[in-house]
Amino acid sequence: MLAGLGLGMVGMSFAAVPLYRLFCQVTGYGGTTQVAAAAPTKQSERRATIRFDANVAANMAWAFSAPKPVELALGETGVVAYTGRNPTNRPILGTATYNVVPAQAGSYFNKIQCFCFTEQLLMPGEEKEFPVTFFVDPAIEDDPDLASVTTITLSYTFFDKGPEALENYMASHGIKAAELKEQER
Amino acid sequence: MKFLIGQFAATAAVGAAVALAPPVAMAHSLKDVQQDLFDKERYFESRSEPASEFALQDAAGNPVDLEGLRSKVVVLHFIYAGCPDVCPLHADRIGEVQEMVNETPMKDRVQFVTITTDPERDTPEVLEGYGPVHGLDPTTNWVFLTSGPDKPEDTTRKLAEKFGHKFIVSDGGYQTHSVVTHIIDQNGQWVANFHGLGFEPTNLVLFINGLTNANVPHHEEPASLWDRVRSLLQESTRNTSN
Repeated sequence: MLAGLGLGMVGMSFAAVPLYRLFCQVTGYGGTTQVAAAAPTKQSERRATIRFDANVAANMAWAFSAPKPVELALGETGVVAYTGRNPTNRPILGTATYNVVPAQAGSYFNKIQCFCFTEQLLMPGEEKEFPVTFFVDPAIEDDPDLASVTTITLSYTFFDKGPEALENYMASHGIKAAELKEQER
Repeated sequence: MKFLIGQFAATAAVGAAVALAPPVAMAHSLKDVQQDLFDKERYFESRSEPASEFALQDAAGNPVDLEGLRSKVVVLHFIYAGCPDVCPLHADRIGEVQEMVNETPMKDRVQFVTITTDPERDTPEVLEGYGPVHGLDPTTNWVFLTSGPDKPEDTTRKLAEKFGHKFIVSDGGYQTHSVVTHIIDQNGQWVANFHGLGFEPTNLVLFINGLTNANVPHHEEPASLWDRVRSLLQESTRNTSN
């Protein structure tokens, strides 16, 4: 009986990969943009150029600019900083979405530190740097669909969260209206 | 004593290294977005079940089914054009979200779907004219669906009921129903509801972004052990037969 169980488990382990691929074929999906807790331990000789794209939505008054492209070895950790500036005379609370282009490379693009999704407050006239720490997983080399990819773009879009979210943020962070007026002077 | 000083110095060095190391807690996943929405967005509800399939048609009579939208995040809601109160406001809100999504590279990875719950009155002409008035762009990734003439009149209301809606239809054709925006992921899973009209549009956009990044398009996996064994077996069979 134990032998049968063992054989069954071996069979399942062999079937897991084809079943995964079948799932991919059926759904068209097979990966997840990675969020890593630490830098990789291995690097590759292959290099990739990482471009950075900065956008603001139509409702956002910030000036938001991207760092220059960097070229890194696969597995090498990169650190860059985007810059946001609030040129208005009112505080603005922003939040950013991100995308990796080509999208398929998202499975291999690991972010160790990122400002996406987190609410970011810029006071009137304030400028702030938003760092991103990342690496490209050397496993990308084994993906035949991405064999010709030498450039990956990380794109961010900042949105204005609006007055209600700003009010809630200020209340939860102990920022008083008087302090804002002081900043505006 | 020397040992103690050395130990203190080592501890201080490690402490400094930890303090200087980049924080890792700020990297965000879909799970983080969900938790953030649980904390901040009172109109957000997480779901986890297969979405009810549908096979309907657009204003031009082109068939549209949920299975055909498997590669996209679907933002789904039910309204009818003759609705005098919340439906137009709901459509305006979805139009606002569509505009925000379409300002990003997510544009090609999200499909907005509006389904009429009054197929009898919402003729193809009505469907065609509805979107632009409410900021919904039919030329990109929004579609207004109806059941079509061959299906029972209550087809779409029954579908809406599978998404948790309840209808009270009065004599004049007025329908009382709930206002909910449903989110279906790229695998056909109904993953969230945003209730009412009070949710913050950026929160819906962030959730969509979390989904588009959590399920990136398929990439070919490297040859598996199974494939390599099968390939070896096939090769050996060929050699034997030769």
